[in-house]
Amino acid sequence: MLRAALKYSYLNAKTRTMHARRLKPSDWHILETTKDPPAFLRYLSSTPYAPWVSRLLSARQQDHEQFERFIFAALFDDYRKIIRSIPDNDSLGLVRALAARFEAENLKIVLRALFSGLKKSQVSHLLYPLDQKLSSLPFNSLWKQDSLGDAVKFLAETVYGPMLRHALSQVDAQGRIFPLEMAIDIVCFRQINSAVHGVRSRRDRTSVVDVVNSYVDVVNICHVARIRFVYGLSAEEALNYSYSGGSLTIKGLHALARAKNLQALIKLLPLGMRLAAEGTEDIPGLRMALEDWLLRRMRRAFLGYPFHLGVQVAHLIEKEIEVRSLVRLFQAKATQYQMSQAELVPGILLKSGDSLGGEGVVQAG
Amino acid sequence: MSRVMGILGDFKLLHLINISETRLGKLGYSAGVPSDLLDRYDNVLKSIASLVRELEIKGPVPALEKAPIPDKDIFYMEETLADMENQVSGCLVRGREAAKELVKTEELISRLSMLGPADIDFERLSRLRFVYCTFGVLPADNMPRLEESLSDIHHSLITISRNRDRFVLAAFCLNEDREVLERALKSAFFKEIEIPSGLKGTVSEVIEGLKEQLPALERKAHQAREEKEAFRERFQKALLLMREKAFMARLLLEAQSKFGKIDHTYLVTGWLPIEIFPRLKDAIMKATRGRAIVESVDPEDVREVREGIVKIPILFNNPLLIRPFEKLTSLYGTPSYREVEPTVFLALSFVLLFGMMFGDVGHGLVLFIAGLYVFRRLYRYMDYGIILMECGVSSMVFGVLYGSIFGVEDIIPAIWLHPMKDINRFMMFSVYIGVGMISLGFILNIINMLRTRNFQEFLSAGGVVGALLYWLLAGLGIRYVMAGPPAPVEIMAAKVISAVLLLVMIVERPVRAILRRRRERGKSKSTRAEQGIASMVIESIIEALDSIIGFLANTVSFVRVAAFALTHAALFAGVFAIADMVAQGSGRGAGYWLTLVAGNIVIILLEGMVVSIQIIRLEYYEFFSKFFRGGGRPFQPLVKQEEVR
Amino acid sequence: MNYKNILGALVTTLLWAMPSLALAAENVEAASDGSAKWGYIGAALAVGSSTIGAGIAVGLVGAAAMGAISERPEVSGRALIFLGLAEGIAIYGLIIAIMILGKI
Repeated sequence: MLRAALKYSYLNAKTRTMHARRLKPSDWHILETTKDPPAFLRYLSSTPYAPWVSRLLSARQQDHEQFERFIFAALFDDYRKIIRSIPDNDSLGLVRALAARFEAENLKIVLRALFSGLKKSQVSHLLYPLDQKLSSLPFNSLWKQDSLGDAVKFLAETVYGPMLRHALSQVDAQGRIFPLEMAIDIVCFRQINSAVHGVRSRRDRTSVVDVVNSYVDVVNICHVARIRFVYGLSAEEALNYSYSGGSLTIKGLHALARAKNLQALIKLLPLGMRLAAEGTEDIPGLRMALEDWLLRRMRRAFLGYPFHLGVQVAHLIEKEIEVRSLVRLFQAKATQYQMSQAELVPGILLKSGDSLGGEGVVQAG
Repeated sequence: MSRVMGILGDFKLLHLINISETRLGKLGYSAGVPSDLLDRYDNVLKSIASLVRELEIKGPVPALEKAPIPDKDIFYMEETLADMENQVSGCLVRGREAAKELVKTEELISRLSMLGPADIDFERLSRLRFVYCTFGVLPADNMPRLEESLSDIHHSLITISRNRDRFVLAAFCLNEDREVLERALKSAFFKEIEIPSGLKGTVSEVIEGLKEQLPALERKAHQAREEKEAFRERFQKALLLMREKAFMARLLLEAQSKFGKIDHTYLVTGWLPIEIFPRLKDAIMKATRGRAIVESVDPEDVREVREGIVKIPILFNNPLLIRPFEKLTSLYGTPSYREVEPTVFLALSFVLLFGMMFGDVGHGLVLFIAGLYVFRRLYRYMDYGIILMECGVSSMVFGVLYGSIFGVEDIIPAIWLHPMKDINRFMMFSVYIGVGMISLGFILNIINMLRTRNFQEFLSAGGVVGALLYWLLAGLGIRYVMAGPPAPVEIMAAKVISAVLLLVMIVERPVRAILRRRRERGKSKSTRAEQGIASMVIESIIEALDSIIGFLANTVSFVRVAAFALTHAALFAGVFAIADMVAQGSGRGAGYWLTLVAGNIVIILLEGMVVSIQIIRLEYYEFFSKFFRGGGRPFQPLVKQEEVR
Repeated sequence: MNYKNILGALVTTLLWAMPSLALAAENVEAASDGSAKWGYIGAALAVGSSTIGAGIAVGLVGAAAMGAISERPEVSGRALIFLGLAEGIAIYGLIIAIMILGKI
């Protein structure tokens, strides 16, 4: 215990302080009732997101595309802080694998641009602002490639290389870039899975496996549901495109993929998720319910024994959900799309007085 | 115009001022970059690049003797390139086709050989009626999901071969389930092996047949290659030279964007070291046949420089022995033009302190030899070689003073002292050195203030008053050490003088602020929020206290010089002790000398690294911080040697 | 980081060991019968182990304090109080050593 305490004392205190800076339920209520984007931003400047909002305002970009980029910089700041003080190399690998999801998103955007012949200037505002610490892909050289085939050859040495090569033949055969995007995501989650099982300390590993599996399960279920019911592909394709890792088995995923409609799929979910998702009628609702369930599990990581890696990973996932909810809320305001709060923000963020979270460990003043 | 550009390029020591930074530029009189000429050069460069690539020309970059004249040389280049391209094109096309044929056949052979272990008969395959069959490659990780996804239909996945991360599969299913199989395969990134229809016989037979076609194809490709070689021989030198010229011309054209222009007259402004000016004037007058005006202007007369908008760039001008230390100075900051150049002092004190901390004749010799080797052989690290050599010499000198050769202290007598034996004297000596260096720092600060005419800090803790106070206290301290407690008269005098000095330090800023406010009371109100007088006074008090503590801390910090010299001697004692233990076991044989040599190497590396870092710390924090303000601009000449690429 | 904790522990140990060393030196001539040596050993053990404990505690608390303060500087007051609590553990050992040495 002493060794773990020595390893994690700094990082634990830092992460909990970061965790205490989440938005409070009152913040969410006020944000919902703001009239328009400027008012939203003004209120947001009084929360811990102030530095990024001021950066957004000074760049004079108020449309919702740019908002997403600037607010995600808050999340990457947390990633960078945790990466800077992580004690072990294998733990570092896990956090970087989690950050690699955003690198994968950027890669997808770049490849999509190459595929459709768009130039860098048209697309660069959609990219996540990652820096050297979080992403080691050579994006600058990637833009210099002339075609998709060249880009895939250029990436042959990276972790995405072999899968991309295989997927490229499908791209040529199908004439669309969908297989390439699927391949990138599959590689990404495979990396996360191997990083999770590569954590050496047993205590760290059990806590992290718990947290990351829940997260991957939620992502996987939404992914399979979307492939089946939104893109309309068949069950075998849904199964093959699903991600590795998580606590669902391949047979379980196949059963989910074979479900005829959303309700049938929900009935096949494990008990906790089933209860959370009961009664949802569409994919966004399913996603919201599952995020709610996920947040409850993340909060559990902060109870009990404090000196393990699960605290850091849980915080990062929680923060990501918070940032995504903020972006959704802002986009609804900016496009004046009428949606209720429940459809944009996971319910648990709005509940106050919850002993699982609430005000955090270290209070202000 | 271009000829002048050529001359400026030849001179290589002109730092161009961007015209837009001066008054003329703001009025809009800047020359544009002649874009059509630039485009033509770009095209020329592209054609050269593609020719170089096709003919696979490699080789050393030729040096240009004369700078090109951009608008004349372009015509010659375009003509020659067109000619070359004509000659080469036919040969290139033939070579490409032959290579393509060869590659196609070889690819088919390799694809089919993937199916080798199964030894399939293609005729039988083509006769299948109820079963659909396909061959391909699958990433190994996707296999479990593929298997599971096909569990609803009758299927068979037969592994033909596998390596670390791919399977070569034959996938079979019923004709009616073909769609399901195809969908599953495509979502698992299964890459089909294309087999041309109409093949007869088994896999090995087909491969044999294809292999027989190979020699003829290879001969054709070889022929084309030989033709290409011939062309390469002919054109290599000319192409490389033309490329360098084109690069250089383009660079000169781009530099034109920094010129001012009114109708047909160009204005070129730049910084130049004074010595080179007469030669440049002569060359330009000759080239333009007297139709140019070349003037030199003292920097002080230019309004922009006086107001600080344009900074005079600095070019280091140190003798060879001091030049390696410019890196250390630049690491701290670039000195501004008017400041004293500190590299000389840095170099001298570095070498002196290094010798003191590392004093040993033998080790000094080793460093000197190492430095000599680096200096002669490794051109890129020439600077470090010089530093090593200088430090080696200094160590040798101090080794003679300490009387220590490779740690043995009996061979030569100590001309000055043994560090281990006269510890107190040695520590006091290093404190004296510290006092000297800090005083030097103060003096340089005063000189800087006089040169830059910036008298804000003159009377404060960093300026004259601080220096006087420091010398007073240091003088008292040294007197106490050397000759016992000072007389009461002296103590009283010291108290009075230091009180006066402290008062001046504390009071100067508030007093100046009050005077300034009185002066400005008649004029417009100042818009800046000013500090109150009281807070200024408190700030000054704390600053004064801080600087006094700083005096003590900085001076005592130099005791580390003595500490490191002592550790150097102590490490020797340790090495000898270990060697003696080894010698007790096996006599003064190989083991003993091996231990000694290894110990000495460890001492040199360890102490060398630590000592250099400590000296740099001393220089930066105790010496530079007293006077070095930085903020200068380095000199960037028009054409740097390495930039012509 | 691991080595920062160890460094903190070492420094604290050294800082607290010095006064007790000084005290012990003063009292060397005091007693000469056999039981005195056990007293000295007891004093040394008291100071030594308490400083090791204080070192570990300060290392942990200091690292956590650094983490929290770097995120949120307002927390520094409370964090330093915790640090003082950890440092005080060494004083307990010193008091015992002084009491022992006083009796010898």
